[in-house]
Amino acid sequence: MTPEEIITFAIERFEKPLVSYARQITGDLESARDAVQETFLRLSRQDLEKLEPRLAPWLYFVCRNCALDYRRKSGRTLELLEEEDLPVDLCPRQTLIAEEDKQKLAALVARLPERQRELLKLKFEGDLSYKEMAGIMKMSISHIGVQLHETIQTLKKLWLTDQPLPGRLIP
Amino acid sequence: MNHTDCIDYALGELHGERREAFERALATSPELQQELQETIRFMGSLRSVTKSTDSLDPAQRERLIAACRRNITSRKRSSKIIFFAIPLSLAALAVIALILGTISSPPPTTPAPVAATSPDEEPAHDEPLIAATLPPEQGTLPQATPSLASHASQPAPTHNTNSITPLSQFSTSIASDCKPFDPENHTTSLRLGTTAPKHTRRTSENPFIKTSQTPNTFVPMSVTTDSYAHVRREILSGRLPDPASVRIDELVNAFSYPMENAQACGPYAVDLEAGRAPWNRERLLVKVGIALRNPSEDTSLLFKNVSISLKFNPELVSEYRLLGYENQGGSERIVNTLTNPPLPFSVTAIYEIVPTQQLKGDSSTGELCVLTTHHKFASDTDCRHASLPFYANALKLDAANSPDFQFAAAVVGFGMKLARNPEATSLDWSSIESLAANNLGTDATRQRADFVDLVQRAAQLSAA
Repeated sequence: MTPEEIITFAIERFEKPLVSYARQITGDLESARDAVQETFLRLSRQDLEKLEPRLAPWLYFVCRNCALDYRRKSGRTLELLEEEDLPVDLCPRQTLIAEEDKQKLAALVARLPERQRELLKLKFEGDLSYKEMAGIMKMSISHIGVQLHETIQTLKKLWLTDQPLPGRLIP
Repeated sequence: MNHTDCIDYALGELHGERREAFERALATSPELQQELQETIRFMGSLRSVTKSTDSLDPAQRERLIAACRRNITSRKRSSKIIFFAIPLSLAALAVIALILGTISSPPPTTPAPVAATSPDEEPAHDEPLIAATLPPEQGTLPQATPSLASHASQPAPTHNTNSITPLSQFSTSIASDCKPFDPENHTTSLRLGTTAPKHTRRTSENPFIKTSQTPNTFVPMSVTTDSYAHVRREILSGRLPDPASVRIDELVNAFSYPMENAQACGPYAVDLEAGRAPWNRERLLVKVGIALRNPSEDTSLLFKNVSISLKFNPELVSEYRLLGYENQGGSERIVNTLTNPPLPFSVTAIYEIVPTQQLKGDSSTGELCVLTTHHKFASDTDCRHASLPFYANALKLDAANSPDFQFAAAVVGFGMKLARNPEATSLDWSSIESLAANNLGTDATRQRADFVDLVQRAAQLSAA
């Protein structure tokens, strides 16, 4: 692909996942958009043909730094999303799970600590490997595995059983 | 067989022997098959709920795509220039060296780059720059430093080399005496809005730093150009900009500089040039241009601990300050903990220096400053270093400076005037205009010509 094609592809493929990922960090949509804009601008100054094989981890790494920067500047600390902050159209219509179940799972995910939500985003939206995630989150590969297992198992248990939603998952 | 393996297998993260063992168990255990199926289904659900419809504003996306395409185009252009300029200038240097060598074997007048050290070696920055600091024989140096009080074309007085100390002896540790630029407090964002963003407001100038106390400083590696766009818009709308919105670094970096005399320093091409400050003939400006050395250097490989420091020689430089980049001075941090975002493709930083009597009076051949790059490739555990000294005898004055230097000096002067800097009171608009107009270079984009027009308009607005 030419650099122009790579940038077009990158924006098409990663715009939404990155805005959503950055929003989780900044806490608001506007700063998240700014962080993503900055990420793509930085990308456009790179040697795109060389970078292409590592596009996803690179974008998430840079986006994370930009978003953390915005968060630091705003002085905001964000641990738990409030109920009203939940995106309304969080889950597109799908036949895989019933709407009700999805709502419940989405609510469970929203109650996860920030780090766990970040892990899920990187894994399921970014399709990144543990190794790539470790580089982005500055954690060891084994720690990424442990944290992700714990998160998935907790969610799975709560989702499959009919337990009422706890205030907060994973202390 | 545990749940962990099941999750890792479903996520494609189970490798080698563990994977083989898991697959063997899977073949014989209906419970495990059931569990894996459940896990995969659950992950599908998770995947669907982590999806979001958040996106960029459509207009913002359109502007972003346009800006990215512009960056790609300008990157291609700059890459070509650097790709050709460096081998050519190195070849030219080699030819000159050969010719000089056959005549009288004089010491080098242009600094030679010090090769990057391997991670295991001591930083080049702390090694004596032996070749660079050998005192030249009296009278053999073809190009001596012109006295600041005299014109560049006047013959320079005999230089005194005995008092020159290698710059590398002045401080023992870069980590302990640096006043680092904090990249984490600085944005490289190129905002696309139409008003001057808050973060471009300048509150105070950087103070002069005493070289004897703090010889090391970090060169900023971020670029924004918002302030120039804002200043230009204001002037074209018929009013002078708010002085607090004028940021010199953003004005200087709004222009491209071909860096024809750049030299290799680690993974970068570095162009160092010094000359007189247009607003004060007793002061000097040091222009530091940094760009990636050739298109094959991948900035993302340099993610870890990328920084560039500049060390001034207290024997020749009494005080220095970075022009622009105000409010960016960071907390004290050691160099090896700096974790930078990827570099923009090129950066120009300008320092104003107060020369010592030694530099003013005699011609000096020592190092005025040494630039050191600290970089780490993704696979490195230790930091690599490369240094490039700038010698006082390479100092040029006034018209002897390159067009890029003189144009950048005009841009700085313009910024100081607009910022109502009291030091620029004696600098008049017409001097800035002629300095810029006489140094347009090739100006293919007519950006510099546009600047000259802007200076004229500002002069008229200021007089009104």
